[in-house]
Amino acid sequence: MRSEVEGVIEQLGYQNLRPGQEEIINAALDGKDVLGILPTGSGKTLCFQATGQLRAGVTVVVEPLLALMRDQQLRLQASGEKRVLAINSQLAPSELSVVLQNLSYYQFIFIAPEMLTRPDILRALQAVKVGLLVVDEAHCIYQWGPDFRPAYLRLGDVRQRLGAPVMALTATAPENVRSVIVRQLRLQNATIYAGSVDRPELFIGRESLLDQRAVNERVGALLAQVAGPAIIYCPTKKLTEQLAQQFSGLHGRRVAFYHAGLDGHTRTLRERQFTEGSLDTLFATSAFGMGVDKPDVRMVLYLGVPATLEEYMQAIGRAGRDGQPALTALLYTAKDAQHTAGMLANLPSPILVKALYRAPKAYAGSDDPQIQLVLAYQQAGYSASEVNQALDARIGSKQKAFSAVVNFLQADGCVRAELLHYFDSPAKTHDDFCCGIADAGVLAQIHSEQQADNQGFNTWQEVFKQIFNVSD
Amino acid sequence: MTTKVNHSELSDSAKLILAGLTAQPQRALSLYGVLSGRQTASTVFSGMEQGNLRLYGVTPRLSRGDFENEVAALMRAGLIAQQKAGLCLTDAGAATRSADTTFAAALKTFRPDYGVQAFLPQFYLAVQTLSELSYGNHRYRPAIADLHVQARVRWWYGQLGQETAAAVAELTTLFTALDQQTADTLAGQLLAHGYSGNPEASTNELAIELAGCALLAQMSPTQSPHWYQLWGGRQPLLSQPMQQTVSEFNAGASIEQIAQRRRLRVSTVNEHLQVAAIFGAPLTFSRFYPAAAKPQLLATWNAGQHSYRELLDVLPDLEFMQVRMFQIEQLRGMQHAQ
Ligand SMILES: [Zn+2]
Repeated sequence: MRSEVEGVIEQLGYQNLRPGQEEIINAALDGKDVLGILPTGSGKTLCFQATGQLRAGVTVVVEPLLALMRDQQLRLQASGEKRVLAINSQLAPSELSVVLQNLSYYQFIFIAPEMLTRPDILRALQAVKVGLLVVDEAHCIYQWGPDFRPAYLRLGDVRQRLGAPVMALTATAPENVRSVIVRQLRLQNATIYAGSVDRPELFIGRESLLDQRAVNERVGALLAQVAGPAIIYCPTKKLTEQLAQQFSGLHGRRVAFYHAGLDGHTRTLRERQFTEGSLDTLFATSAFGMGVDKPDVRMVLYLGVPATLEEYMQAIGRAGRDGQPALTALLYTAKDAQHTAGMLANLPSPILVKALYRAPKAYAGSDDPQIQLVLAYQQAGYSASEVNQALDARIGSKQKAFSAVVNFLQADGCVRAELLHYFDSPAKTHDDFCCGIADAGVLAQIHSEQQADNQGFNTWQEVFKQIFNVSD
Repeated sequence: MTTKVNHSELSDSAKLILAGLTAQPQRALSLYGVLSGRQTASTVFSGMEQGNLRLYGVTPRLSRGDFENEVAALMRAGLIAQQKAGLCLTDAGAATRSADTTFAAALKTFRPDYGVQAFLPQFYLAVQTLSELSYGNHRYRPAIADLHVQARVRWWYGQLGQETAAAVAELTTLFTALDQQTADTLAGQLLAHGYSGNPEASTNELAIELAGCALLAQMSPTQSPHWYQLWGGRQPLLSQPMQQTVSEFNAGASIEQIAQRRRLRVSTVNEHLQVAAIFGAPLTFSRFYPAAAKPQLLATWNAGQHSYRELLDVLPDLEFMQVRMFQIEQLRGMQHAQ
């Protein structure tokens, strides 16, 4: 490893690089365009954090989601980097103009794609030296993909104007998507690193169950048999609360629920408590996971049927990041599959589109993906009727993505092979710790370290002693 | 059919709906507006008539859908009823509510102008900053990502200078003054050095909010100057544009002049002045209606006819704004007398 890279990753709190990271960082440090496909949990973030620290000039990072941006910002702040800025819809116009005049102060600028294509912002960025343009979640460029964002299509133009090398990163890009990314971003002689999406340490479980009651029972059985931190993804907020209550205290498990209905601070608290081990079992909606980097999750259960395999990979990819065996399982009923199929046509209605176009500011801070999607189109210059047309077209692409999920549900042979086939990635040879129904033999291979005890500060007096470093 | 319902088993939203209602009906949408803090003249006027503005903005994140579900459940339980003019408390509802004195006492600590929801994130981040500092640590993940909160705490920290030990001592005194459970609830939410909250502590949003109110109630510029400075004292309930309208009006500008100068609609300026009047801004009410109309309006009012309709019947030439401002003036007088 280059010695300067070694120094900077240590400063960021890491000991070594994982496969792919070094290739990507080196290519970017040499000023080359690079497309990195790294599976979830293998450290996309470190690639641009390290490169950004070492390259002269500002590193501009395009992030599609507010929550991702917030998380990246906090991580960098935690590593001692204070010159971090996020430009998104939550910044008031008056703040934005102040910030634009001081861009050169920042080392890292996270920006929503829709903001980056604004002429005033682009001009301000052209006036400072941009050393690296990072396009995170680069698959959003793919028009027929479920995560498509119209503003991503204009990033090729942006990169040309900024004249900086590009680092495009994504967790999932089948070959056809890779070529779209290279073309749209106008990457030149790009270094492409495509790590295998397969995570051999994960058991890819898939169990079809009779009804919700059977699902809940199976959850209880697995929580009893697999020790260690567990995330149980639930399709509704209500179910997270209900199951958290039902399984509270089961086998000494420290249980909580997590969904977007909780206020921001409570969510932060539960994320940290789970990461640090004072909670070990979280019943959560898909709102949980972004920015939670916990290596020793031993089990991720996914209740219900996802709309895309990307979404599914993202969820189960949170297990076993320490490389030790972990269980993942999709537990579903026939009704779940019908439900998800029925939701596919559920896109923002023309009425919502109209309301958003009339008062976009009123919705700017919303985390609702439907609202964010319409705002993204609006900021990319689409008219309301064009948005409605584009949304109609999306129904087709969502159905296509869902048919891959159906194939995964119906695969007779190796379930893992079917999953990875979708991502154009080779799978390990099927063996006794591979896929299907997790039997006792599989579960016996999953081991967990003894969990840390609760910190045990219960009264405010004890808490104050700890947090303000008061000695007796 | 009604079954006996235990108040402590109701959801917080349901408890707040019960707390807001009386035997006098209030439109559901107005009650929702009061509880969630909607700043429209019709909402706050309704709250003033109903006498529930003390709960203004107590649950800002309550969604319309959840509110409606709670209302439906309370009606099924027979605790509230739907009349033509709106929702009202039933006798069973009143009995259920008054049986839970603990909740009523806790709710009394809430004050709309405490701005507790804005204060708590600042408080959490300020405590974290002090805590990390106690360990000489400058690298940590801030508990709160919000830019405005971070800027505010950074400013506060700058003001604090070398006084960090004093701030810790002040905070200890403030916590000592709280009852143990309230203080433990708040401490359980903290994220600081070597501590990420107590997973066993209450995670109930309203309980945390009311604990925050109890803390704010202890604060004073003399006894706890540093924390008082972070808080900034009681917060204005009026938005910035509303405050500006009030000061222009009090400087002698007419409603039309204000509208013209600021490129606002006359109806918007009227709205500002109504809300301001309801929240107690100093306004000369006689400027809102003709002096000649006052004796007749007063006589009608004193005869117990308080509604807009009843007052307008007596003086049909008056405009809505004139009658409404008279009503607000009278209601303010009645509150003052209480
Ligand atoms: Zn297999």
